Amino acid sequence: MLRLLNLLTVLALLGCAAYAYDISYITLYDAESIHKAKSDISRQHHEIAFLQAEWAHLVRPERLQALADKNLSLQPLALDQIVSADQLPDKTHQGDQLGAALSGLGLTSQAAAPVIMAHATPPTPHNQHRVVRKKTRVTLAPPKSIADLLKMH
Amino acid sequence: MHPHDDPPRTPSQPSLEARLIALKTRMLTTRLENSDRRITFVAVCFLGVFTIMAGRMVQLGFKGGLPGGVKGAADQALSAARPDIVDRHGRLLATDVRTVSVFAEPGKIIDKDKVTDDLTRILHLKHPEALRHRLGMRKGFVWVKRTITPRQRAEIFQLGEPGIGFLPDLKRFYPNGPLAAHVLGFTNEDNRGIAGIEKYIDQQGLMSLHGAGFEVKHADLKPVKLSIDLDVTQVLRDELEKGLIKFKAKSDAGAILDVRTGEVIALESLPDFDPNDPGKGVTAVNKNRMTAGVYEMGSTFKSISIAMALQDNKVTLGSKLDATHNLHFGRFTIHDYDATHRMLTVPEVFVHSSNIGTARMVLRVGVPGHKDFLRKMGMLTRMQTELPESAAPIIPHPWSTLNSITIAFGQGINVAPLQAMAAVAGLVNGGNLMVPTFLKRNEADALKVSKNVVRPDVSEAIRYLMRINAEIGSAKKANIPGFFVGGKTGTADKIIHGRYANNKVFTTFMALVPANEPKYLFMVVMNEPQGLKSTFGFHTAAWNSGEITGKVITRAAPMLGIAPQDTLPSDPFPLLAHEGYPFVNMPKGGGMVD
Repeated sequence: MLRLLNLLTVLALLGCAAYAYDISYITLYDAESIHKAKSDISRQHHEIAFLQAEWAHLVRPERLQALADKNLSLQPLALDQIVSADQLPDKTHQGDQLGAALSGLGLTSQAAAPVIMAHATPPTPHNQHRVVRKKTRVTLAPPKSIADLLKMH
Repeated sequence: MHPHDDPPRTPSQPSLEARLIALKTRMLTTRLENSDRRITFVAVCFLGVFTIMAGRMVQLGFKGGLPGGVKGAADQALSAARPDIVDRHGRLLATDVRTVSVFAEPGKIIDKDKVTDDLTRILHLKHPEALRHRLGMRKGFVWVKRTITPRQRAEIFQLGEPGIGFLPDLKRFYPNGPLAAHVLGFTNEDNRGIAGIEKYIDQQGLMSLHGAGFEVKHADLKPVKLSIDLDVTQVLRDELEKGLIKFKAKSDAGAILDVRTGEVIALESLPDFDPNDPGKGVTAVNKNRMTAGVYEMGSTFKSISIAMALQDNKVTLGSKLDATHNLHFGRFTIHDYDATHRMLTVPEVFVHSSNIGTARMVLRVGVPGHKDFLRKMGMLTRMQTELPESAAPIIPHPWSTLNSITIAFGQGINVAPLQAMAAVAGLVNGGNLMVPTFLKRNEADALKVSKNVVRPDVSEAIRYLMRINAEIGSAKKANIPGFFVGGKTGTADKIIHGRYANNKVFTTFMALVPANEPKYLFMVVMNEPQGLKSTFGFHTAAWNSGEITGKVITRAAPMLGIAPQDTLPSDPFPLLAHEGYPFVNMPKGGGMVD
């Protein structure tokens, strides 16, 4: 009886030792991966900080102003460019502009397009955009392909 | 047969079990006569092992320049992490960027001259002899160069020199270059603040933490949020730069102040510097002229004099002052630049910028009252904001009646332009004087640190005076339609060799937007602007500082959230109208919408 108990104790001890050994190594491994992850996070943080600094450098107002002056024809906001809501002219029905644009490309079914066209002739893209340009001097290219239209909406 | 020999084994020998027990007994018992040798043997073994260990320790102890020593020196030398600095909308103004620095362990380098030559070639060093000197020092660790490029790093790596190593380092980076440089300041190689807000941050306890050995990580530091608006600062700097060239001035500076909170929205002073490469740092040429320079403010100071006379009830808006003749005092005579030779009301004194009229108002208050009021307005003491760069005002000593007369129209007292702005902001915002701040704060916190200096009706009177001056007076250039601007010019002759030089001027311009419910105060100062053909040869403030301020308002006001209005406010000055001056609410014509 005592012998069996001794044997069991020895076995239990061996089992505990094996378990502790295993746990110890798992812990060591986990600690190592945590450390790795931490250093990775820190590296990523530094990279993010660097990218943010680079982005801030690229969008610095001085550079944007130079680019805007070169590539855009925007003007400073002036009083005559602003009107209150009640000074706006009545909205005229302009029809289905998207439909018109599509029909201009020959993409709509023939049943729908003529109805709209008959109701109110929409301004051609050229005229329409000239009006916009006069106000704000933004040059907009009229949509050319279905891909452009999809990007817009 | 030997007596000690085991008896011959025969099949009749004891069983296996008996033999095992015998073996065990033999193994676990030691006879006393045999143990001496064994104990001696074990003792010798242990002695040998311990001797080797002790010897190794002594050897390690004597060896100089341990890896640990290098690490300690490097830790001392490495740059301290600093918090990011962001503008009022959270846009990055300053940040730490990780770089690589190269160091040397002189003890490990054999051919120091060759290494010096190689490093000089790769790093384009300007002073190779300094590096040679450092390599000759008896130190475990010296810097070769801070912040090198990846390419240089690869080339140095190719040298294969064992005494040269690399360490990750931090470098302060200012993405916007010289923009707001005077506010931000800059740091030295060890990332310690040398000027501006950077120095202020260090004074708040960051460096003492680092010095005490705490490792301060960048991620642990909260960004410092300034009151500065980056886009508005760009507008201000751009217009100041254009103005500097156009009017061939020596220098110019400007600021925009939120009069409700005392926040500085933008501050620029040209010429300036790039904090990424500060070179010689801040010198007399590129110092911050808004806080670290003191100047005679000229007629912009009249707002303060008139506010004082109104506050002390020595005059009212309807009072008439005698400007029929020049004012004689002792052997001095006070002239008017734009002489009218008649009795002037208080608004007329302001619009014609009458020195005589203002001097008479101050004479009614008297010297002690004048000094007390200026002290209350913070004009007689150094104004201390977060920026370490500040200059104390130059005040006359002793202070006679004549001093009071000239100070009435802004001569004989030198103050920092931002200090004058703070005073005018305190006058127009309802009478709450507050020290400007470069950190973001809200109106409630600002009111807690403010002190009341004038009555609300006096504040409104000053706003009215600035408004009519923009409508029909000298500030017309800044009367941008739609913004209900109020303004005041100031031109002071510069003192050269103790005398006022008529051809060299310092011009100031202050504008209030909008004058009925003031939100922002704009100021531009110019040092020695020249008269141009387009200004008909004039070099007075209205033609240069005024024009620049007007352009800044046009561009910056929409960014600050002020929409231009196509109608004038119907009742801009209700208190004055109630007190019996109905004319204040009638436009004079200059500010009408086109």
